[in-house]
Amino acid sequence: MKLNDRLIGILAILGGIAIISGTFGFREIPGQQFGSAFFPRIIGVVAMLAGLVQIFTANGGPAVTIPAELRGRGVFVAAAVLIGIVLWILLAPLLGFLLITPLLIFTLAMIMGGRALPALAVSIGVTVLFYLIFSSLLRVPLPRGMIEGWLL
Amino acid sequence: MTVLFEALSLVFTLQVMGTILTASILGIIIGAIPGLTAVMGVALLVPITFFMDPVPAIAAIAALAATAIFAGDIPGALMRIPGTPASAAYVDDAHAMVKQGRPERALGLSMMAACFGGVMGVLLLMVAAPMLARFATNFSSVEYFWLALLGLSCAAIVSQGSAVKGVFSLLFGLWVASIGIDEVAGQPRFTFGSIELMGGVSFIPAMIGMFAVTEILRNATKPRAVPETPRFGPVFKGLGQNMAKRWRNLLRGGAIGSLVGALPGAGADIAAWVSYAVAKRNSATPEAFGKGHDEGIVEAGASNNAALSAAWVPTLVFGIPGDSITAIVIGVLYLKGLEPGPIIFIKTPELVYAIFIAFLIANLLLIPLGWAVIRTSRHLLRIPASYFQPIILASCIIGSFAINNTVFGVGIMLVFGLVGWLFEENGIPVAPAILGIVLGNMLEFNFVTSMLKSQGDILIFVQRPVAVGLCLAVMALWLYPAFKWWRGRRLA
Repeated sequence: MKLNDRLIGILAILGGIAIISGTFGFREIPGQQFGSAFFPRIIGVVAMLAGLVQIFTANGGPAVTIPAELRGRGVFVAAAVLIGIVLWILLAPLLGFLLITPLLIFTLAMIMGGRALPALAVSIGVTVLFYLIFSSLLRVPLPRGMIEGWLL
Repeated sequence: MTVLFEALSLVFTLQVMGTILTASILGIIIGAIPGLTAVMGVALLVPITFFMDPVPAIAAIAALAATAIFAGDIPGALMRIPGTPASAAYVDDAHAMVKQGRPERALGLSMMAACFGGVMGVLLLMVAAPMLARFATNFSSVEYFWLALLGLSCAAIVSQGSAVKGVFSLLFGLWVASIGIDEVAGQPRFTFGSIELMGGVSFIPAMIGMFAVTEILRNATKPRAVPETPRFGPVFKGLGQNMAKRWRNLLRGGAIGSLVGALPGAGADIAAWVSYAVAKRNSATPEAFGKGHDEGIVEAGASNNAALSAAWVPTLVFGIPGDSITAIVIGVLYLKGLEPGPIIFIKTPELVYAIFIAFLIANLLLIPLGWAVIRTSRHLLRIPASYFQPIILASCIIGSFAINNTVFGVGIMLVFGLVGWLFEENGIPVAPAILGIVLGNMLEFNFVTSMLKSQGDILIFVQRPVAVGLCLAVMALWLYPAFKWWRGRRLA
């Protein structure tokens, strides 16, 4: 998704304003000139200035351009990747690592055009490998669920 | 001398040597697969190094980066898709050579050049870093402020494309660095009421998002056909003679790469482009460049690996990263409780030398591993993306989770992946943002400390000779785009 260069400049100015307005609630230390708000305010001011430069030096064009690869299957695959991450975040604490991870790998492999049997083998093999490395070797408390409950 | 022996005993253990070998093999595979870059490989390796001792952790990163940068030449040569941005400068030459039926020559040359350049860069690192560190022990917060600003300015302005967009990226990184409790005043900033954000944005998930998730999204939207791969002849046949003929290019590439890499904020890709241009200008046959000529491959191939090693000079000596990979290294050093700077040269010199030795070993490993990967590249290029992309996504998720053992890290990864993808789509470079995240606190801390020392007198920033020199360098960097714009208008 390509935004118009002037629009990027406007967004930078808005971002600068947002950062500066976010600093007004900061507590000041009496007698200290350079408190918590000082540095973010500099960032905000520079963002606004750079945004102005961008607006005046940029070329025109449509506000938003959707490139060709995002019109067809590409957008579907990219959305699947993003939704996959969100579902992992939401479901991992419920289902456990050993169930959600192979599901994610298998589904994405199928969406990306893989075949069922290799996808199944890859998803289970990789999950077990990751589990061995991170849980058994490095002692990371990966999210536990049903399968972990049966196994361990 | 005892320091050197201590360093050798730190490196030549089964654990460290095994780690270096494993990381090198991983790096060479990641670099050889089109669409997987050296930075992405490092980003995915970091969560595992998180659990290691400092020497194997840093050695693993150094080894993976060195081999991945070389292996990036393989898809570049065979498919005209550079595996890493650092291979882009000479991709036309290498691909033309492959089309002429000499794939083993193109890849053999770039392998030897990479090894040679890498070793030159390490030698510079070994000589220059301790000397600079001795000099840097006299630096105060003022010099560190200017150094941080110089590194950030280089990253934003020297980056390819528009300088203003580089600045946007940098500001985003600096803002992200300011999230969390302010160290000086104890004031929470931009935490949006989240307790998880109180400690700041976790660096590793952010970086995995920006470098790895972004690439998965890009690869997902731009599917590629499986390439036709050519037949290879013997890699080493006639290679020695070819290299001997190009010794000038090798030396010059290694030297220029080392210098560019040692600049804070400028890394392997810029070094490769500069060296390619220099090779063309000094060549007897500049018209042959881009059509399968070997001079550019040798010179720029040596240059990018030299830059990769030399980028560790400002990283270790000043704590200012030379490129995205060393920015990640700084994050790792802090996590390990090792604050980069001249002090680690004094307190733990054996650690620094151990890192140098690990680097040297990784660069020497390039020849056997490079040969092996050239022989097997036909098969590596045929691995369908539909299987390795989901695996990489899974390792991104686990890596982001494992740092703090919360799904919040995975959320951070997702947000930064989307931001990085939007940045790339709009021609905004990602590297300045990462440098901003890493250096933001150092910049602010040194600024505030200096101002407190001088009781608000801004002149403290130009009262010491080194500070004045650094200040002039920063100003020259910022004035350069304005000058270019003004000259462009006048000529038009």
